[in-house]
Amino acid sequence: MAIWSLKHRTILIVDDFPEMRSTLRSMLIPWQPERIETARNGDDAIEKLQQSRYDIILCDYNLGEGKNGQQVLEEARHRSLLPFSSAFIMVSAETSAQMVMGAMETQPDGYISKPVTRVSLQVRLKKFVRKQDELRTITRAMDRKQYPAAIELIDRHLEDNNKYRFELYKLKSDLLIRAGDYERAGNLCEAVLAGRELPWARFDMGRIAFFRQDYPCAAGLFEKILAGNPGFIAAYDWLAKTRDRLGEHGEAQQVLMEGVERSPQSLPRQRALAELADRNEDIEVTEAACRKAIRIGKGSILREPADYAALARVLVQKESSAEALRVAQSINREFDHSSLARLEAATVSSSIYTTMGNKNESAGALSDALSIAAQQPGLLSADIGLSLAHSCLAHNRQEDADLIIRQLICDHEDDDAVLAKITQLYDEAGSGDAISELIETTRKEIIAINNEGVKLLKDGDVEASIELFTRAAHGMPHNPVVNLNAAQSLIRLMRDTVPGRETLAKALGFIQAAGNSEMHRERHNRLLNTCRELAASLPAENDTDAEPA
Amino acid sequence: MSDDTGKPDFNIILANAVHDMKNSVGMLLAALDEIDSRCSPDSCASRDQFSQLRYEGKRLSSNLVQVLTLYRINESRYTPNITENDASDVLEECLLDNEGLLALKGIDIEMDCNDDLQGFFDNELVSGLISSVINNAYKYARSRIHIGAGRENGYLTLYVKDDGNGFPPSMLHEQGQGTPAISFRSGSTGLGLYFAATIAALHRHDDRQGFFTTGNDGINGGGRFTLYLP
Repeated sequence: MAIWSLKHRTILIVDDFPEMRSTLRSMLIPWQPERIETARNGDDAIEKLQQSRYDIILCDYNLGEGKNGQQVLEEARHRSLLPFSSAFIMVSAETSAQMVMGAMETQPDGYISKPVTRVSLQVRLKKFVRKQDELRTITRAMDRKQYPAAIELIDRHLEDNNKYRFELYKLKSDLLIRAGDYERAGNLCEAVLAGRELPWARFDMGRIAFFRQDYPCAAGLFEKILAGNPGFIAAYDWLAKTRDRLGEHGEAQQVLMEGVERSPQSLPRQRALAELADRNEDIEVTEAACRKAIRIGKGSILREPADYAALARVLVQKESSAEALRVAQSINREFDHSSLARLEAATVSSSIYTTMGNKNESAGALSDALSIAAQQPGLLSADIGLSLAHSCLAHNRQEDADLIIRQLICDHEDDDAVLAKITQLYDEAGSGDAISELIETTRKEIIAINNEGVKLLKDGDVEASIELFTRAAHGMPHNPVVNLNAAQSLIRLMRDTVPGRETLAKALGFIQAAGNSEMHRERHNRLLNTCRELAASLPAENDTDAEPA
Repeated sequence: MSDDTGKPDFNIILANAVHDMKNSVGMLLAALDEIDSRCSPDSCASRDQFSQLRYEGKRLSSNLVQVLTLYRINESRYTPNITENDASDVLEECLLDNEGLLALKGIDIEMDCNDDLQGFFDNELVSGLISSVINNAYKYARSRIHIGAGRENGYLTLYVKDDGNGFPPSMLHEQGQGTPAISFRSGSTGLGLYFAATIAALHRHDDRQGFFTTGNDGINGGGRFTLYLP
């Protein structure tokens, strides 16, 4: 057998039991790793990951109090603390099928079930180390976000090497989809599927159809995956989204409920179910999903004050005002009195007090919420805005309601679901005519601004165009077109003059703020790619991964 | 953990219990390994019993894992994770996993596998299956076990041969036969064969399905088990 070692590798062991940490350490030492560090809980692990990079992370699923292994992985991925070149290996005694599903869903690079033996550890680590070495140039490009370069490197690797072929096809397909190159991604997946029915390839075909807004085709593809692989959880999420787009809201909820049943430990899935069930006016399912979302969210980076506000709102509908109030009041505590927490808490409290008949308290909470929203318009989500406007109308503050709604229209001018809710709100308040006029004039204003900015750009007055769009984006922080136009003007500036890191960061900020809805996805991706090209032409920054090859 | 009538679901209770047992056996095995690593061959008179204990423990653990896996497959909670794998990787893992134990009984295990032999299969499931077949061969082999891989009619084949007395007629199995009948008298629970049949059948490509065969054409008329993966 070939001699192998862990020379030059750094390893992080995460386990809450000191005995387990030292057992793993003593198993690893004979393979002579460069450095072994340990963390005793999730927070400790995240801190270590922030401070340095590790080649291999062995993380126990069950970490006692606080974050579990899945949440550590989730947070590390979310905050980009895990380079592509690292291997995150989940160690688990798999206490239940649900847990295993959850753990697999966040996709660790590997999985070792307890009891860990020297042999099982050796076999796994050997594989990872070999793969790490063979794919090093590719993962390095990925870590530097040089995606087109990564695709080229993948192609080069595939030319003379069959090893990891399908894994690389999958990675390439994902990169192409992210870059918006659906044509090439689709061809790649079709070629793979011609040879063998691999669910990920069909799944990517489904995603491509979805992004191309061919929903019937996407639905068929996701259904086919589930027929053969009912455990392919992500397909439930996408099928539900697709059904929803097709206007089949009840079916969408049904599909998502199946997904939730198979794999309940996902915060985004529970949140999506709550949202869908709420729209379908299925109070029971909404409530259950909201509660579950909060429970899973404990300790997770993904949790948001809105999860609590959603539960409070459904409790109001159920006329459980006392509990709703308790939930609302817990928001500030749970989220350290952040502006968003205060806004969510005040907004939902205002409507709870109204249903309780407590007018003064309601008015007070409403004023608090309005002043936070005025200071930080970026915090105003569609849900908060609608709830706030509703409270304003209940307190006869028509002007404030109009202001809020105007901003919602600016931010969501092409989101029919939000516009429908706005219209419904005003219809119920007896001002249905006023709202269609408000929507119309607001849209016209946005078009006028966009036209003016684009004209400035065409006429070569780049600076003025940037200023106009920046101001406009400040007023409507979530409007995709305005944000993308702002990015475009900045890109033009960089093309005309010299690209600078600061300008590039601004442009990327606008692109991110534009969101990533299918309607603007192509332009979004195009601008993003241009930014990446510009970034590549910049002189190298302090290279963070300057390590011996 | 209950259905609409509030009655507990026996399947779930059983699965959880099996799970718990599996973890206990795991702890037992780890403790045994620990003790074993501390006693040298000459200082420990009970070494043979130890190896017997470890063998039985491993068997127990592997049976429990099989039951759990079958439970998940039956509840369609397990989707095979079909990826392209090296046959040599799986065989090597199984070899390393069993080598120590086999050495104690004086059984040599050899591997014969071309390095570039690849196939599409669920790595975990297949290595679990092959490992349990080796574990079974341990009981019957006299001095040699031979594992290897090859290609036959477009199938990837993985085999385990031993130099024992071969399978009894009731356990001989050819392609196209159903799962062998369970006979309590023969001392076989049928779990191993049922597991093998289930794992093999989870592997499909176009209209072909995985299967296994057993025969007495191993080493000097000993037992042979072959898994065929499309």
